[in-house]
Amino acid sequence: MTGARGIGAGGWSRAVAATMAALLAVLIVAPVGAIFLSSFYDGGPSLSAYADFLTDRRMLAATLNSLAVATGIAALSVLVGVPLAFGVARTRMWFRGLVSAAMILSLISPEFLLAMGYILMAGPNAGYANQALRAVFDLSATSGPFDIFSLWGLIFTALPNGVAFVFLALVPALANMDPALEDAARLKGASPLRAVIDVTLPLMRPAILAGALLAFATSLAMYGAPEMLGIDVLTVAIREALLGLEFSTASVASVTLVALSALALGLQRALLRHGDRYRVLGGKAFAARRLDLGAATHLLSALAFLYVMVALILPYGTMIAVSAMKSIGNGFSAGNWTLQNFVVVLGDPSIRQAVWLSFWLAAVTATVVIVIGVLTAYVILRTRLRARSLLDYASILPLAVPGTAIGFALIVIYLNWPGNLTGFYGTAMILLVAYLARFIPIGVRNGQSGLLQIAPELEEAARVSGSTEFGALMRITIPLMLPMLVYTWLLVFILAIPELSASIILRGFGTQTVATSLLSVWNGNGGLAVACAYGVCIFAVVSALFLLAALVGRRSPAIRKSIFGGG
Amino acid sequence: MTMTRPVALAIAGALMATQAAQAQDGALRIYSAYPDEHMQALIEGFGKAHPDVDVQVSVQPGEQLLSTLELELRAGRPQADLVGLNQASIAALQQAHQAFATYAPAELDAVRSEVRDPSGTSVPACVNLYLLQYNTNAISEEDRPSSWNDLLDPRWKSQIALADPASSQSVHSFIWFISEYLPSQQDGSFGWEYFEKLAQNDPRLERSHGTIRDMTASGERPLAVQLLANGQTSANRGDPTSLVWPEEGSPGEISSFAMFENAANPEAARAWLDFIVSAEAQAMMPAALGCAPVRNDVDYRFPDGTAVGDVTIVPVDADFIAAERDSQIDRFNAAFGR
Repeated sequence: MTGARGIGAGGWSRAVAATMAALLAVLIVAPVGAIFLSSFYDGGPSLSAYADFLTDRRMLAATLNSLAVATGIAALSVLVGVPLAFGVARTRMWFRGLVSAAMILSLISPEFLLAMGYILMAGPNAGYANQALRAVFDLSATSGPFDIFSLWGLIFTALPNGVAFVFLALVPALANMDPALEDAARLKGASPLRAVIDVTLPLMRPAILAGALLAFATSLAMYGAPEMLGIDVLTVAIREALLGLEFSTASVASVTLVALSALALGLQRALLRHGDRYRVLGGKAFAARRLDLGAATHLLSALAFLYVMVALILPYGTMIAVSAMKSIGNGFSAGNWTLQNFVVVLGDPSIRQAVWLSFWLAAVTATVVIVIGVLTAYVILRTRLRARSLLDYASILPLAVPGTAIGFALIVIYLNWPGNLTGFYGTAMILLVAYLARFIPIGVRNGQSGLLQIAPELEEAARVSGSTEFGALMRITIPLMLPMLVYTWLLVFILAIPELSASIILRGFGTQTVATSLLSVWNGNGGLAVACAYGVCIFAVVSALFLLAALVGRRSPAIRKSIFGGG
Repeated sequence: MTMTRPVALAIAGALMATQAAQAQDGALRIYSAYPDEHMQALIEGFGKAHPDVDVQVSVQPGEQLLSTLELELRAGRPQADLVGLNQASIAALQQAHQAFATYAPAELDAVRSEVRDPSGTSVPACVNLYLLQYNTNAISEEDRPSSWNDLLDPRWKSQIALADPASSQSVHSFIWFISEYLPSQQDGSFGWEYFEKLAQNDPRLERSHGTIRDMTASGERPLAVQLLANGQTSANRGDPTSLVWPEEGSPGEISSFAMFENAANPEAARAWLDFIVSAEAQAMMPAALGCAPVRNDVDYRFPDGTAVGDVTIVPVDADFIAAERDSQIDRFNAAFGR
């Protein structure tokens, strides 16, 4: 018998490892390579694309905008996310359930829906919130006070997503903290608030930073919100460069974007790995107590209420209201209400086709991602093949590659030899390739955390009893991982349905997806009211699917450590 | 009654022609810069004569569609039979790729000669004009601007929306009109200085005219440089907006269709082009594509009741726009200081 985790020499696992390596090479390594290689190529090896980039005022502005927005979101996410996480995990503040629900919803709901809501609320001239504030405070100005079409507006629009990353990184850490550490401070005479500030928060530093870096990286990658607000960030610049067929500009912008994301995600992983000296969870079982912070509790409740209103109820409420308007110009007036926009959405053949394509893409992606995820995780965790660490790195690589950059890379690959021989360009297949690349990390990571929970002894017992390696995997391991697999399938399905940033770059005839068709309806091919009706439908479907996933998720403790935990 | 026989023969001939047309079937794929809601009426009209043809439309804003097509042509496989874009954009693609077939529809002779494409690649569908659209809740009829020059008045600061030439193909017609045509008419107040002054009023540059229409309707940008087609949609929808025909005149771009050389379904594609210039389709244009018919034998009034004859329409120079697209974008960006 080989050792505990070293079944590895078998021909079957070698074949699996080779197949996975080939798949990851085509789906991930090739696109990432294409981004880098194309940036150094201009008829021959050249740095001219970088020189052009550095002297291009618009590109430099886009880079600075990206950094400013991502930094702003990360910083404000900590400012808002930390008190809310503390409030939910450790106090008796009100609205704890609502805050948690709002966090989950802002992660699963596509960013462009929130942007739609905020544009309707905070457009400087006609935004409903602006009109209301001007009326209440009797302002003579015809514009403001909010202007969503600005850098601050973009930060504000993406903030709920960033706050959710900080919140979800922090809540488990706070809930598992040993209360003896705070007790010690209290015994020395500190007030509860002082104990929290001097003891608890410093202990939470790695989790806070990890959440902030995740918020930073996802903010760099967002496309829908800046595009709708008309803010030039790197993702938008890549798309604009491609529209102008300036491939070298697009490639350097992509390299810049990937490098910044990789830096943030690398830091985040390092923080979580070296978190040992902040370990607050010993062998003893305990639950952190809820603290009584006196008046501060009410402050937290007020913050929670404000957050739920601003991040969830007001924007989606506005969207629902507008979805029922005949003409957006006549606002909240009698006689301006209709269900016709929903009739248009449900009856439009282009929308129906886009919905089917998105469901098909999401289902195939989720299925393939699970197969690749489980088999790759198996090679990484259960064999001693030397290539396994390479598989590990390759499979998480796409986390640092925004969808816009993947879309660009696939254009380069599938327009040129030998990729053009596949005939994928302009068809749904190229979208599938993009989706697989984007979502493989979730499959492999969830596969690993699922597999880690199953003692290898169970597989070995099956092998001893005469089962093959493949038989043991199919009959023992997979059934034990089933809740995790179903959950991962649903998660990828939910995240793939509204995929926008790669889809919009790769769309061709008949390959509009839900997100690209919604954006096109919003941008005039139907109009704001129809777009709102469409958005309400998407929100309802995605939320229902997530409820389903959450129900499945209850059956597996590993799921709590999955994607939402970061790291 | 000597006329009876020829008339009967003509009817028989027409019936046979219809039957020949009905023999067309299969899918007809159209890449379109015209919105779905505009294409729908044309597709229904076409479907009456050609019930077996399954017309599929894929809509993208013009400038995005141009780059989609550019890339598909580089990959050597355009994904459609027909494309619906303005004449200048089709000409630009044809210059670069020679991808379109020439075709003269049966009733092309009935089309006004000044809008026909001399090269024979694009078939004119209608004339789309630039005008001013304003929100009637925000701007009263007395206060409304009456000329392109009025947009420079500081009181419209942060009120105006205009399409961005980097992402809209149509607005190139307007930019040509202001930067080239009006100065050539010895009108000193236009040219690129106009855009430099307009930039002082901080107009919002949007990616598509549909977005601008909704911003005008909602009051977010109550005044816009707009295309007739969107004014028509607003009128149909009951938006609180109205139109102004600027004193200096209106550039008219020619919304067109063209078929690819290697269209998968050339019979159906030709049938579509025949249909587009037919009197039946031309009568639909105002309600369908939202623009003015290109045949003189089709009666038309603008949505605000103005007669076609009361508007100064300047046909755009499609060749100039096709050739100068990139440098016009650069000059526009320079005028806007970006």
